Amino acid sequence: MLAATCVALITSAGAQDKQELETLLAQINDQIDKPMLTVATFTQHNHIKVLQAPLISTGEVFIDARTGVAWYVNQPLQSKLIINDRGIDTGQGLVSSSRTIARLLRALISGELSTLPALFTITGEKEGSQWTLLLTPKDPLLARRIQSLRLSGANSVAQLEVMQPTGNRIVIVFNEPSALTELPTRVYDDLYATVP
Amino acid sequence: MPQFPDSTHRLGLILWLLFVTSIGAIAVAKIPAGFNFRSDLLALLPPVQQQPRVAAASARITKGFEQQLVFAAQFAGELTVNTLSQRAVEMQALLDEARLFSTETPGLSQHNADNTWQRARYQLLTNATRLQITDDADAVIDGAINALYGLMASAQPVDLVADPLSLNSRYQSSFIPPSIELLTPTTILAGTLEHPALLQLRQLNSGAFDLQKNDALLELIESVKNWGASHGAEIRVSGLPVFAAHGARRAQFEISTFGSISLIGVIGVLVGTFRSVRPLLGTLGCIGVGIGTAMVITQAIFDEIHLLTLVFGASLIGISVDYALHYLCDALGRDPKDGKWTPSQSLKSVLPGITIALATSVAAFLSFLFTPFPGLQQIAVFSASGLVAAWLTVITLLPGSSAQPHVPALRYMAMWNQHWPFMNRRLMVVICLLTSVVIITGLLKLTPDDNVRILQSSPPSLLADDAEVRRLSPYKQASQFFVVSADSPTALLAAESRLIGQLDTSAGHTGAVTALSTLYPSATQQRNDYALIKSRFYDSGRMRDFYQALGVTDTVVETNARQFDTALSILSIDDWLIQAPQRLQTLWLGCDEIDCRSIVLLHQVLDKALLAAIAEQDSRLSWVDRVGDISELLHRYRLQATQALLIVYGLAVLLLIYRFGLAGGLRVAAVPIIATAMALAVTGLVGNIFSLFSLLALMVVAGISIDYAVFYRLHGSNRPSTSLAIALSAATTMLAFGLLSMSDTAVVHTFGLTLMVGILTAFLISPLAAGQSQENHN
Repeated sequence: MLAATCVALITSAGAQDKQELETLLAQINDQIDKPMLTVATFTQHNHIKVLQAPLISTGEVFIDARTGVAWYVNQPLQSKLIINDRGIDTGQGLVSSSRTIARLLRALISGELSTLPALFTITGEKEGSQWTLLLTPKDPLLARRIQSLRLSGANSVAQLEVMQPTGNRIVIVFNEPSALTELPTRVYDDLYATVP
Repeated sequence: MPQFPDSTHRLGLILWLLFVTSIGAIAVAKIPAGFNFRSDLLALLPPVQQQPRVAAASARITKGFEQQLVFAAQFAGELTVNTLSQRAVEMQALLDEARLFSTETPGLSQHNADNTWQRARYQLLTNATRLQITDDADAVIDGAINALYGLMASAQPVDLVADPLSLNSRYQSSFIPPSIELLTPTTILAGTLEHPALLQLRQLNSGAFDLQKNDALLELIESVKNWGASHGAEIRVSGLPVFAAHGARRAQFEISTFGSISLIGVIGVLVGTFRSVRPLLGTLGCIGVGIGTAMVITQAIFDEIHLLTLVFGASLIGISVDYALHYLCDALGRDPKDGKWTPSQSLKSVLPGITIALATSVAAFLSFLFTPFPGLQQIAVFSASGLVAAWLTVITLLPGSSAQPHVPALRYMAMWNQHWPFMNRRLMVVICLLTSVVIITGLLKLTPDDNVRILQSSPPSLLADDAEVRRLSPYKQASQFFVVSADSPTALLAAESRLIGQLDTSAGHTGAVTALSTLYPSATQQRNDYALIKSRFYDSGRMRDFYQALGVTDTVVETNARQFDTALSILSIDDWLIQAPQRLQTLWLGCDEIDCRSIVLLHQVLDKALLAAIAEQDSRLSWVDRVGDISELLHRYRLQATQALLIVYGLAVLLLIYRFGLAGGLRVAAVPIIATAMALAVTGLVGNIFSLFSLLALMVVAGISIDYAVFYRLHGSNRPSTSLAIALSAATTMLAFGLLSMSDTAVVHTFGLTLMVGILTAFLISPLAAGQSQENHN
């Protein structure tokens, strides 16, 4: 059992460490289920420094491996966000200069780990089927938005924690992920309507 | 063993040793770190004659450009962003491993850490935000609340005290080009979905013309191309360092090839003619001392030697052997067994001729000093100092060698003298007619070309790659712009606005202009925006409602209100620029005691004349077109060089008439004039460019062909040793310059061909200069 437990603390500084990180990411990548269509519920806690209680929102997220991510907030108010290769769409047109962020959010939610080493310095840990990755942005421009990220899960991404330079912290917990054979019509329309 | 026949020669030998020792001492004192070779073709260009203020603007725009390069990987088919990210990482790793680039990413991380915009957050709005607040302030509040509960809260931090509605965050984001998508910190995703491309922007960690890095850069490009080929990507590289590296490799190849072939050719001609290695050794000694001196003097004066100087330096070999040849051939004409000949006699015989030859050649080369081209000034110093050293070696060292026995070459030259140019009068008439037809036809076809791009002889594939990468890149380089000046920053921004108004209605350009007046909000605009936020959010109570909806404490609300009340502090253009992207900071040239100046960049110029006309109407506007300015300069100097050549010929004709009489002088002058006309005609016939560089070659042709004519005039056309010396001189000169005509660099090719044709013509017709004078000398 002990032998089966792989615990690794990795930095990307040296060639040896880089190799180990690649191995760990490959292991996690193999472990994560990647159905073509996935749905999950989420709870987001936005811990803002000047607020005594976090802003909590809940909703549903749909992941289409081919197209992108549809993010629906249902409580306490309703909103949607569509992320695909073209960028981020709030329903009122593309959000400008957000294509890098769009790709990043999509990768984080769907567990497309292979794109992350390009933008982040990564350290990781895996114990049994549970894994955790700590990501620090390499690009100063991105670092102005995100101080660091903590991503954890088993067969899918279970929790995303974002530490911001402002001191705010956002925790998104994903629940009950399940594969779908087809997308609900409104989700399909939202995801594919913005695809050129 | 060398003979030392008299004290004069011993004195000469001491003089030569002193000279060589001095050059050695200069080398030790001035060049302790060795020679510094450069390959920058732009070094050939003159500094454009601009007002110092305009020149400063040009320098600012081109600063850093020399070290930038872009690697582009273009994929033939659609790829997922995932795959593209992986390719980006691989490509980045490949480039990083080369350790050729600085860690900074040019143009990507643009914002300064000093957050002056954040301090002025309630008075800086984008046009879209201003419109939205004016039209529907409630929608702005709703959007801000939605963002805090939505996914974007993760990627767009909100400071509920300092920037609760993220208005400043929106303003700052608007300065990142929306088309830019970073796949890695140094990789931009470009192209289309069907044909995506990865662009890696890099900055060399040394100068673009660091020769030691050239090979490493070319090897890296090769390995990136191999990597691209294995992933179905076409790799294109753009940037001055790439052109410099290719240019340097070609120049190095040409130096070693032309230099070696020229040397082998000269050795073959000399050994074949003299049937002895001693003249060869003497000649090689002259070449060695000449080139060694030239390199030391050039490095000492300029602190560097341009590779193109060395290419022309290889040609120096052809000229510097002439002096040795005249002496050696004169010695051939003597009978060593008659006991009356001494080396000094031969030296005395050729000294006037080779001294006149040196003076004319040095004068011809030094004429380059009067051009504004730094590269050509180097060539002038290199060639002149090398020739003086070679001449000194001939007159001091060579007389130590003994006379050579008669060789067959003298008999051949005697036959040549008998039959040329009087072989057959009918044939001569035909040749004259043909020559006239060729010259007239060629001259009629001669088309001047002063475009600076003639200097750019890069392979077409490299130019095509450069154009494609520029098309893909979101950052456009502009070399055409206006410099605007006014008495104060406010007046300057107003002047910019007036200019942009004129440009909007001008057909001189198309597309956008980049100007600070369109980006920096004026003091009035800042006050208006502050007043807008105050009335729509604070006075209306919307801000308090917003905070209540989120459950923010009263303390925070009050803090925010207090901060807002005291926040208005107008940002001057200097303060605003502190946080502006680098590409915008370069547009502001600042103020001094005379005036304030800025740059207005144009991205697609259609008609330069129309734009120049706008500047002519206003003394405080300058139109700058670097490429056009240099071409104009080349045009002006070509005309001046033409005038200089005509003046040189006029003076030479007068001097020759003074020395040889009217008929004799005209006969001698006819040789360089016909040689020049033929060289120009061939340039026209083969469709070569006729530029300032052709005229520089013609100056050298004039210098050398006058030598030939003067020697024939002085010694007569039936003295085999004179003919042999001139024949060998022409052969060796053509070996050197003729090889230059094979250069891939257009200007070097033209220079070589012009010289080769000119020298060949001069050699063939120079016996005509002797006329009846031979009888006197006989």
